[in-house]
Amino acid sequence: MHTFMKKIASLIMTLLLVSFLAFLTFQIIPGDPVTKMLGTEYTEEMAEKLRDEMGLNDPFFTRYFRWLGDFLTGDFGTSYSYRQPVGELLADKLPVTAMLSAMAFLLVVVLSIPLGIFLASHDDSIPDRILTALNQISMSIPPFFLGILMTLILGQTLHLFVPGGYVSFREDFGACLAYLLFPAIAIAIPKTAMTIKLLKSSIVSEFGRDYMRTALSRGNSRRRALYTHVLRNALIPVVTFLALAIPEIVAGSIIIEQVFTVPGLGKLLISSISNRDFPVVCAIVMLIAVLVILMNFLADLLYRVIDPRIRVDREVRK
Amino acid sequence: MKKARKLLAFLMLICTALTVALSGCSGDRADAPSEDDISNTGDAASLHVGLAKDLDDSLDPHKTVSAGTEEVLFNVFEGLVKADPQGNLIPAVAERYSVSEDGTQYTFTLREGITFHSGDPVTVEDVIYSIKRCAGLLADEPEALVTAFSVITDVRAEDEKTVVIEIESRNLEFISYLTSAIIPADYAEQDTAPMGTGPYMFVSRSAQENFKLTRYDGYWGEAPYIRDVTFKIMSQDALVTSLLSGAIDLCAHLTPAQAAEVEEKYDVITGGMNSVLGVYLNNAVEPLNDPLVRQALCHAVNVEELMALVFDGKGAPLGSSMYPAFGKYFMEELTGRYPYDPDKSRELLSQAGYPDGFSITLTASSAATQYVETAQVVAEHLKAVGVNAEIILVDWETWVSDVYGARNYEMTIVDFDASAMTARALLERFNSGHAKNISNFANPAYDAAYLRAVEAASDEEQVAAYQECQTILSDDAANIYLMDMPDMVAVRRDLTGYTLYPMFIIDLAKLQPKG
Repeated sequence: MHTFMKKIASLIMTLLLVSFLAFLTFQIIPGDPVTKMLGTEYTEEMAEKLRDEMGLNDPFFTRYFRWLGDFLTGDFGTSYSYRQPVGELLADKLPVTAMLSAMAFLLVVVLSIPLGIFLASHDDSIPDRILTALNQISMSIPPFFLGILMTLILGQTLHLFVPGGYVSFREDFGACLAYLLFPAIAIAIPKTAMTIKLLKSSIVSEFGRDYMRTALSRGNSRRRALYTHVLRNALIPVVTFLALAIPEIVAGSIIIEQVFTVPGLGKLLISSISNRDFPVVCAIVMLIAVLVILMNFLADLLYRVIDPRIRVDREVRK
Repeated sequence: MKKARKLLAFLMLICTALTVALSGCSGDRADAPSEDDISNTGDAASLHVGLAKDLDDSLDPHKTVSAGTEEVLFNVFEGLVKADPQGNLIPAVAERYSVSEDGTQYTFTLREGITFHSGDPVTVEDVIYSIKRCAGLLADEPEALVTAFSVITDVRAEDEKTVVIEIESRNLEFISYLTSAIIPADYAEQDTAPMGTGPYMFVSRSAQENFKLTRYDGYWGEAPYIRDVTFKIMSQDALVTSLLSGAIDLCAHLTPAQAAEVEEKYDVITGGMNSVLGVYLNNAVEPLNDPLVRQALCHAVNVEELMALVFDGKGAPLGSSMYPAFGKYFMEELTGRYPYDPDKSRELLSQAGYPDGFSITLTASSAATQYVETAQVVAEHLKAVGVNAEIILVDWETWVSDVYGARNYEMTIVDFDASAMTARALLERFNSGHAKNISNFANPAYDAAYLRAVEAASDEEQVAAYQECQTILSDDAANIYLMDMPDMVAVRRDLTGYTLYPMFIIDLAKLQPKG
């Protein structure tokens, strides 16, 4: 319980720090949200008046704590650009990024685990060598580059999808999923490759352990030993890796949204930064920070659940 | 053991399902976009328009500041008068109007049966509210939203159909500003859900995604052919692929290179961007405060080569702060004022005391590729005469606050458009005292000529005075005026009637089916 409380405390501290840094950044970078709202033909008096109305003339800490207070009570402010409540804007975009990330994650899991097991149980065979080489290549391709390649080859040449032809999930859920599949693949491929490599090496090293010798000497086949004993141990690092991959997948989707023109959080984040739409940027940054921290936390918990040895260790130490 | 097998079976199942789904969806897609079927909509009366710029702005017609939002809202709003494709003003919300003998009193008669998109009739109260709001005469909007409206002294209703606007003194251009939108007096959501009297009404906006309009069936004028319009927001790079795949049917503001890629499948219409692209010079800093230096720079830039390199040889060269669509105001002869002549340029630089040239900064916003590419070409040209221009790229908001707002720059690349169809809109900023005099240009003769133009009693007098303004800008080499950029529009082959305006406008109401 003690460690749990400690975790929560550090979680809150991290979030506070992130919020402070996000807020601070906007004080440092050039550009004024007011001039964006007034356009190019503003006068200094108009700008000053609007700044006053928006409370931008207050001291830094006053503004920070006011924003933080509002944020904690669920008031994310109003977008400077769209003049719409930020909560409303995010609610419109969050499902898109969430769907994209979920699809990418699902692809990573369903592709990497069977392939990893296959490669491990056929270690050093010809298909293994070919797949390992392929794996090494796909691991090193950044998702955005893959995205551009896919747009060119699958979209423009093979017409499997219409680049830029994103359909809102509100209009046609199926068409939306079909479109998102391609960016999801672009995000998933490098992550899948890494997971396969990790799982394979994990299984191979488990095969070399003492308990494996015992299992084989008791008359188990290699195959049987793999599924009864090895896999359970070999999956531990993989599960942790996957949990930590989720924030990375979300980050990847932010970039890939630009490539495939998917109107999700990522596109909104990037345009809001260049528009100096500070309430929107802060809200998205906080959202991502919460996600990353929660996933780290979850990975930590999962680790304990899957591997009883960790729990036992702790209890013994007490 | 059993568990493991179950797990494996489950994974296999998912894999199979996924494979089926994958192949299934590629099957679905096969019938969507093909070479000969560009219209993806099925319904001919709906249209997808590509936009490289999001409508990330207030949608209130009086408060919106970005040209990209204004060009779309043209379909939603109308003023007492509106612009036609030739740049003339035609009656809109007002059926007709008259101007008093001394030019200070405008009388407007409202159009019979005209309604807002809510179905409510447009009343004289709505008109008075709209004008007063723009003029800053309302208690809650004390700022004049349209600066040209500051000359208004009175707005009143003569009767149920007639509105009278009085201005300080004769002002030939005042009527051009009455294109400002007429909006309902008792409607508070213009910011996010605009409502006017135009041929199209607002449906929805989704940030970074789309902007939807639908035909307003109660429109007073000719009903548009296209019923539903979806503006799709995408990156500049996605425009061509989206056109080729049929995801969009129409796209304006294509570069010549982009237009060339789609011209096999689309009708391409070529026009001018209707703006003044130039290298704007800060006349207040060394060494640009010397007219000889500025003239030398004008001689150093090869506009023809710029056009060939960046704009595929298209566009119109300019010699002052005016573009050809302005007809009678435009002075073709000024385009030859500073022919490309590096020797002359070097000579002028020597005269000015810079025989070895100098180093200077050239700031450009990375918001538009044209700015960046133009900056690169110009910097090369300047290098040839010994002027070493260091290009500084900034984002648009930084440009607005540092360069345009604070005038903290030496040279910059930008284009200015006219917010209303008046010469004033393009020349006003070079008055010595003007708040947005980006060049810090100061010449008493210019100020005097400008004042004469604004107060002119006759059209000829006004044209002459505005031409004098342009000549002074050119003689003093206030800035290096480059060109009016080409603007290309791709339109789906089965549609006709897309019309270019001398202003920044996408008019969808004129589209008709071919044949």
